[in-house]
Amino acid sequence: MRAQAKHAVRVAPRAPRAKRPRTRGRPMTFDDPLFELIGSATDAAPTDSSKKYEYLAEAFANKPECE
Amino acid sequence: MDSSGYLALINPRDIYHQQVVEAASRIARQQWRTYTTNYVIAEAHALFLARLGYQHASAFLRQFERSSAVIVRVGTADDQQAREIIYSYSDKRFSLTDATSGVVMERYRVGVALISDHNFLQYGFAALWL
Repeated sequence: MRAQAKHAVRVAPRAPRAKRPRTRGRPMTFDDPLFELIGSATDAAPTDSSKKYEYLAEAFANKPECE
Repeated sequence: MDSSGYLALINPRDIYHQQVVEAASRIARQQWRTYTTNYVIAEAHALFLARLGYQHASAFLRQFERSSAVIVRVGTADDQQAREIIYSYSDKRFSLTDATSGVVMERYRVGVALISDHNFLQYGFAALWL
Protein backbone atom coordinates (compact mmCIF):
# COMPACT_ATOMS: atom_id res chain seq x y z
CA MET A 1 0.00 0.00 0.00
CA ARG A 2 2.76 2.43 0.92
CA ALA A 3 4.61 1.73 -2.30
CA GLN A 4 1.47 2.39 -4.25
CA ALA A 5 0.84 5.63 -2.38
CA LYS A 6 4.34 6.80 -3.23
CA HIS A 7 3.47 6.74 -6.89
CA ALA A 8 0.00 8.14 -6.55
CA VAL A 9 -0.80 11.08 -8.76
CA ARG A 10 -3.28 13.68 -7.76
CA VAL A 11 -5.96 13.98 -10.43
CA ALA A 12 -7.95 17.17 -10.83
CA PRO A 13 -10.26 18.34 -13.58
CA ARG A 14 -8.41 20.34 -16.17
CA ALA A 15 -9.33 24.03 -16.19
CA PRO A 16 -11.19 25.03 -19.34
CA ARG A 17 -8.86 26.62 -21.80
CA ALA A 18 -9.94 28.43 -24.93
CA LYS A 19 -8.43 27.07 -28.08
CA ARG A 20 -6.77 29.25 -30.64
CA PRO A 21 -9.13 29.66 -33.52
CA ARG A 22 -8.65 27.74 -36.71
CA THR A 23 -10.49 30.29 -38.81
CA ARG A 24 -8.62 33.48 -39.61
CA GLY A 25 -11.38 34.98 -41.68
CA ARG A 26 -11.05 36.70 -45.01
CA PRO A 27 -9.34 40.06 -45.39
CA MET A 28 -11.66 43.05 -45.21
CA THR A 29 -12.17 44.77 -48.58
CA PHE A 30 -14.22 47.72 -49.83
CA ASP A 31 -16.91 45.42 -51.24
CA ASP A 32 -17.66 43.96 -47.81
CA PRO A 33 -21.37 44.28 -46.87
CA LEU A 34 -20.39 46.29 -43.78
CA PHE A 35 -19.18 49.09 -46.04
CA GLU A 36 -22.73 49.47 -47.38
CA LEU A 37 -23.74 50.53 -43.87
CA ILE A 38 -21.26 53.40 -43.60
CA GLY A 39 -23.18 56.62 -43.01
CA SER A 40 -26.49 54.88 -43.71
CA ALA A 41 -28.31 56.23 -40.64
CA THR A 42 -29.01 59.59 -42.28
CA ASP A 43 -32.22 59.99 -40.26
CA ALA A 44 -30.49 59.54 -36.89
CA ALA A 45 -29.92 62.21 -34.28
CA PRO A 46 -26.31 63.21 -33.52
CA THR A 47 -24.44 60.80 -31.26
CA ASP A 48 -21.19 60.64 -29.35
CA SER A 49 -20.23 56.98 -29.62
CA SER A 50 -17.86 57.22 -26.66
CA LYS A 51 -21.01 57.52 -24.52
CA LYS A 52 -22.34 54.09 -25.46
CA TYR A 53 -22.93 53.04 -21.85
CA GLU A 54 -24.96 56.17 -21.13
CA TYR A 55 -27.09 55.42 -24.21
CA LEU A 56 -27.60 51.81 -23.17
CA ALA A 57 -28.42 52.82 -19.61
CA GLU A 58 -30.96 55.36 -20.84
CA ALA A 59 -32.55 52.81 -23.14
CA PHE A 60 -32.94 50.19 -20.45
CA ALA A 61 -34.11 52.75 -17.87
CA ASN A 62 -36.91 53.75 -20.24
CA LYS A 63 -38.16 50.20 -20.76
CA PRO A 64 -41.52 49.80 -19.00
CA GLU A 65 -40.58 46.47 -17.40
CA CYS A 66 -37.56 48.11 -15.71
CA GLU A 67 -39.63 50.76 -13.93
CA MET B 1 -14.08 46.49 -33.39
CA ASP B 2 -16.43 47.29 -30.54
CA SER B 3 -20.00 48.61 -30.50
CA SER B 4 -18.94 52.26 -30.24
CA GLY B 5 -17.02 51.84 -33.49
CA TYR B 6 -20.06 50.44 -35.27
CA LEU B 7 -22.25 53.28 -34.03
CA ALA B 8 -19.75 55.86 -35.27
CA LEU B 9 -19.44 54.05 -38.59
CA ILE B 10 -23.16 53.98 -39.34
CA ASN B 11 -24.32 57.33 -37.99
CA PRO B 12 -22.96 60.13 -40.21
CA ARG B 13 -23.77 62.58 -37.41
CA ASP B 14 -21.67 60.82 -34.80
CA ILE B 15 -18.80 63.02 -33.66
CA TYR B 16 -16.27 60.29 -34.51
CA HIS B 17 -17.81 59.33 -37.85
CA GLN B 18 -15.10 60.80 -40.07
CA GLN B 19 -12.30 59.24 -38.05
CA VAL B 20 -13.84 55.78 -38.05
CA VAL B 21 -14.55 55.96 -41.80
CA GLU B 22 -10.89 56.80 -42.40
CA ALA B 23 -9.86 53.92 -40.14
CA ALA B 24 -12.22 51.51 -41.90
CA SER B 25 -10.85 52.62 -45.28
CA ARG B 26 -7.34 51.93 -44.06
CA ILE B 27 -8.42 48.46 -42.91
CA ALA B 28 -9.89 47.71 -46.34
CA ARG B 29 -6.99 49.25 -48.26
CA GLN B 30 -4.48 47.19 -46.30
CA GLN B 31 -6.82 44.17 -46.24
CA TRP B 32 -6.70 43.53 -42.53
CA ARG B 33 -8.64 40.67 -41.01
CA THR B 34 -11.23 41.92 -38.56
CA TYR B 35 -12.73 40.25 -35.51
CA THR B 36 -15.55 40.97 -33.17
CA THR B 37 -17.46 38.91 -30.62
CA ASN B 38 -21.05 37.82 -30.30
CA TYR B 39 -21.21 39.91 -27.10
CA VAL B 40 -20.21 43.01 -29.07
CA ILE B 41 -22.81 42.26 -31.76
CA ALA B 42 -25.50 41.96 -29.08
CA GLU B 43 -24.36 45.20 -27.45
CA ALA B 44 -24.22 47.03 -30.78
CA HIS B 45 -27.69 45.80 -31.71
CA ALA B 46 -29.09 47.11 -28.39
CA LEU B 47 -27.25 50.40 -28.93
CA PHE B 48 -28.67 50.76 -32.44
CA LEU B 49 -32.19 49.98 -31.25
CA ALA B 50 -31.79 52.72 -28.64
CA ARG B 51 -30.23 55.42 -30.84
CA LEU B 52 -30.90 54.57 -34.49
CA GLY B 53 -34.11 52.51 -34.47
CA TYR B 54 -35.26 49.07 -35.56
CA GLN B 55 -34.40 49.34 -39.28
CA HIS B 56 -30.77 50.23 -38.77
CA ALA B 57 -30.41 47.69 -35.96
CA SER B 58 -31.79 44.91 -38.18
CA ALA B 59 -29.74 45.98 -41.20
CA PHE B 60 -26.63 45.74 -39.06
CA LEU B 61 -27.40 42.12 -38.12
CA ARG B 62 -28.21 41.19 -41.74
CA GLN B 63 -25.07 42.74 -43.20
CA PHE B 64 -22.93 40.99 -40.63
CA GLU B 65 -24.18 37.61 -41.80
CA ARG B 66 -22.43 38.24 -45.14
CA SER B 67 -19.38 40.10 -43.88
CA SER B 68 -15.84 38.80 -43.91
CA ALA B 69 -15.48 39.96 -40.30
CA VAL B 70 -15.10 36.99 -37.98
CA ILE B 71 -17.62 36.80 -35.15
CA VAL B 72 -15.87 35.02 -32.29
CA ARG B 73 -18.24 33.17 -29.97
CA VAL B 74 -17.24 33.95 -26.39
CA GLY B 75 -16.65 30.62 -24.68
CA THR B 76 -16.77 29.55 -21.05
CA ALA B 77 -13.02 29.99 -20.62
CA ASP B 78 -13.08 33.48 -22.22
CA ASP B 79 -15.96 34.46 -19.99
CA GLN B 80 -14.22 33.20 -16.86
CA GLN B 81 -10.98 34.95 -17.75
CA ALA B 82 -12.86 38.19 -18.40
CA ARG B 83 -14.55 37.98 -14.99
CA GLU B 84 -11.15 37.53 -13.35
CA ILE B 85 -9.92 40.68 -15.11
CA ILE B 86 -12.93 42.61 -13.83
CA TYR B 87 -12.43 41.33 -10.27
CA SER B 88 -8.75 42.20 -10.25
CA TYR B 89 -9.16 45.79 -11.53
CA SER B 90 -11.56 47.34 -9.03
CA ASP B 91 -10.47 50.84 -10.05
CA LYS B 92 -11.39 50.28 -13.74
CA ARG B 93 -14.78 50.25 -15.37
CA PHE B 94 -14.51 47.37 -17.81
CA SER B 95 -17.84 45.91 -18.81
CA LEU B 96 -18.00 42.15 -19.31
CA THR B 97 -18.30 42.81 -23.06
CA ASP B 98 -15.12 44.93 -23.04
CA ALA B 99 -13.25 42.42 -20.91
CA THR B 100 -14.21 39.47 -23.10
CA SER B 101 -13.12 41.48 -26.15
CA GLY B 102 -9.75 41.96 -24.48
CA VAL B 103 -9.45 38.25 -23.76
CA VAL B 104 -10.40 37.35 -27.34
CA MET B 105 -7.95 39.92 -28.71
CA GLU B 106 -5.18 38.26 -26.74
CA ARG B 107 -6.22 34.81 -27.89
CA TYR B 108 -6.27 35.88 -31.54
CA ARG B 109 -3.16 37.99 -31.04
CA VAL B 110 -4.95 41.09 -32.23
CA GLY B 111 -3.20 44.24 -31.09
CA VAL B 112 -5.36 47.05 -32.42
CA ALA B 113 -8.94 47.89 -31.48
CA LEU B 114 -11.27 50.11 -33.49
CA ILE B 115 -13.04 51.97 -30.70
CA SER B 116 -14.15 55.28 -29.31
CA ASP B 117 -14.45 54.47 -25.63
CA HIS B 118 -11.41 54.44 -23.40
CA ASN B 119 -11.86 51.08 -21.73
CA PHE B 120 -9.58 49.32 -24.17
CA LEU B 121 -6.79 51.77 -23.54
CA GLN B 122 -7.05 50.99 -19.83
CA TYR B 123 -6.62 47.35 -20.78
CA GLY B 124 -3.46 48.15 -22.71
CA PHE B 125 -4.47 47.74 -26.36
CA ALA B 126 -3.73 50.27 -29.05
CA ALA B 127 -6.67 52.14 -30.54
CA LEU B 128 -6.82 52.77 -34.25
CA TRP B 129 -8.78 55.97 -33.65
CA LEU B 130 -10.22 57.94 -30.73
